[in-house]
Amino acid sequence: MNAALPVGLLTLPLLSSPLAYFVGRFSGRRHGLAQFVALVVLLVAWAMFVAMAGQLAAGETPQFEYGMIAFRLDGLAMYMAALALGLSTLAVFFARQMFQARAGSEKYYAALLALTGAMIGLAGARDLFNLWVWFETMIAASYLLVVIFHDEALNLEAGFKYVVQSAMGSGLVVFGIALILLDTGTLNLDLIAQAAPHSAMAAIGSALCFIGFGVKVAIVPMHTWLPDVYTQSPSVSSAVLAGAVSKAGLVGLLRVTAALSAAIPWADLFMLFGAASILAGNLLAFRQRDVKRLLAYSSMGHLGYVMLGIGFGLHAGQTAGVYGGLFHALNHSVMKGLAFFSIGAALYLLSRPVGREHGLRLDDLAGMARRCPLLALALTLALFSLAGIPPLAGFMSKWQIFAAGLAANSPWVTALVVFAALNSVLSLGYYLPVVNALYREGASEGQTRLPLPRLMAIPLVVLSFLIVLLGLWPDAVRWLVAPASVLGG
Amino acid sequence: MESLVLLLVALICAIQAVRSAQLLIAALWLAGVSACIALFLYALGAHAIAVIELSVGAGLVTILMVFAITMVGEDSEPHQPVVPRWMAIALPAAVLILAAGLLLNAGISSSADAAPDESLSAVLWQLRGADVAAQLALIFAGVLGLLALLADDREEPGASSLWVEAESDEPSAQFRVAEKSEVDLEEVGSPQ
Amino acid sequence: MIWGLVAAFALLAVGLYGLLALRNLIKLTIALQLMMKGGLIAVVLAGDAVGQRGLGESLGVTLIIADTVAAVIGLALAVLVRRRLGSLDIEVVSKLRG
Repeated sequence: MNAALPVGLLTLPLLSSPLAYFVGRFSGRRHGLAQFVALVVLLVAWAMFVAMAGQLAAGETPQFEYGMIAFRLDGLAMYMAALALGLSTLAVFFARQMFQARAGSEKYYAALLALTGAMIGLAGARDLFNLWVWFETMIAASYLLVVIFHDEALNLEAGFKYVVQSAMGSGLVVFGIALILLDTGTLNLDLIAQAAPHSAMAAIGSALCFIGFGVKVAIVPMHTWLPDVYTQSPSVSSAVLAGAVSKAGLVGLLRVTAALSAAIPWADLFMLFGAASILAGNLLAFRQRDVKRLLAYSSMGHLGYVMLGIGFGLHAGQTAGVYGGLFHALNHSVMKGLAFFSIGAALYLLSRPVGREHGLRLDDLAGMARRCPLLALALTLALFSLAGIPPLAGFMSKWQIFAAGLAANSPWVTALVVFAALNSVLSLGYYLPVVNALYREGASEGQTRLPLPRLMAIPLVVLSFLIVLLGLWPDAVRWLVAPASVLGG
Repeated sequence: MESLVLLLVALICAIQAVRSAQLLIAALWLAGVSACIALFLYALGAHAIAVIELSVGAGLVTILMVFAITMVGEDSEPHQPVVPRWMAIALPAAVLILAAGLLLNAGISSSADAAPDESLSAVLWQLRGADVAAQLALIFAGVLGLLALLADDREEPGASSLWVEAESDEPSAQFRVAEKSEVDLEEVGSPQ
Repeated sequence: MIWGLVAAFALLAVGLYGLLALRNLIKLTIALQLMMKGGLIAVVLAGDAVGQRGLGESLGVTLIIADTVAAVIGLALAVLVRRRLGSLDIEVVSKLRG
């Protein structure tokens, strides 16, 4: 087996992260060159990804070993790599306008590359502790995404909450890993899966991992960092955090779930916390007038649907639920990425001072449709898809989750499906006012007109296209999601 | 036996670190925790990591803490905690009781008989080289974050460092900035 | 050996208490450090207990590095918050939102 491709995909973004930094630092034109380096690196990584996806489809799993630690880019790892590469590439396109004339953009691109590499490492690692180290690296790289514009106190507050709660989560994972090592005597995920531990120690270890990774996924009681961070971070960062980093937490959790499947009733945990997240996210989003905060809370709700779908799958022991859940996670990355990118573009058009990200009220969006139809259309698509209106992507994946739940033929699961479907209808109540505001006559029309920069429009167009495509042809990503939903792999 | 005493002292130091009102004192208690743990690890036979913990945990981190505290000055802890105090006590206590009960029941065999296998350096650098690689990325990412935090934005006066000022400025300053970046966007062009 | 692990969880509990009850940014960083010290004892002892001392120590080294990075970032943030606001109280910061 040729190991060059997986090694390359893992190391290229990590090695080129310092390169992007130094190139940006020591070239006079700071803005362009680092961005260009990052873009080239990501495109090369995409090429490797495509080649490896071909291998995977042909039945070979790209893998390599380094010392005692094996890396295997199986379905779930490739899925994560696609999300990481996708969001980072779009963010590189988008980030330029965010900086305007400010210094420091080369650090942002470098951190994006390091973040991408860390997420791929996390997804590929077959060693529990190594997975944690990548998790920690990912968190360290994402600090910068949150605090890059730290001249505002609120941004610092969000940054601090993020640092403290992330570190707390990863600390709990360490304790979980220690208990699992104590119980099974190994850190290798395959060997742990073979041992199939079901002792009390493995149970507590798994529970600690659930809580620890759950902080990153923002499952309901561990969500308190999320609204502040998604609201205060630059919109590009919010898109990457919601689209990729939260999914990386989910992938870490799924690795533990697959290896320690007998330790605790995972299916019940996923369904319970999923349903709680849906409800909490919806209720909290209802009262929001700040658009970014609303999107942050809706993110919680959508991760709840993902958890619910995976729970259905684990409950019935079939892959359909997991497929639905992971498909919805992918769609959520597309939809929430599009929503946050659109908000970023709106903030730019409204000439908000750089770094002032919060406080975009519904009324501020009024008249946006007249001013920039593309932006209004993109945001509308994203919101309709989030609300689950057919025939958009969000509807298709929710539908698959519900269908998987109904197929389980269990009264409790059916009740959960009904509950989730009602919540989905309810969520229209907070998405529609935003769309309404976009198409209303309003204040923003009178202001000076800035055109929407081309680089900013690219992510909007790409993601809008994906939302429509996945709605009309949900099987377009089956090659990516189906191998990922075989959790045991 | 001395291990038990060391652990107990470490715990007492930890409680003091959380309780003490003065930041500087709390940082010193934390250094005490680190030192006790380092001694405990040394007594266990894990010499290399004891030295690392002593130098990094008790040394470097304490220096940084003291440095940071002298920069920000003392600031007394407010009396009103964020969450109700009973919850702040009950939750950790539950964790502790659960884990302690579990561990005491599990009856882990003491490793006194376990032969001291591969040395730390052999395991760390050869078997777990991937951890080292990830650590390097971690450190680089941390340094980037630190650079971003400590960077002075003053080098470009166009982008005012406080939005309050930026808002009170005439709006044209903002637009000039925006237009300028528009222009060099066109210059560099999109690479594809 | 068992008591070492119990002590590790006790440190976790003290750290968690600190994270829940304290508001001072630097003290929150200290509480995080306490938690990670517990993690350090736990991984070293776990490696020791399963007869792989080198493994446990190797994990411990990585852990020390990782939590030092988190501490440094936390302290830098605390210094910045203090400079901008003149307070280290996380609630004062929150009130700014208005």
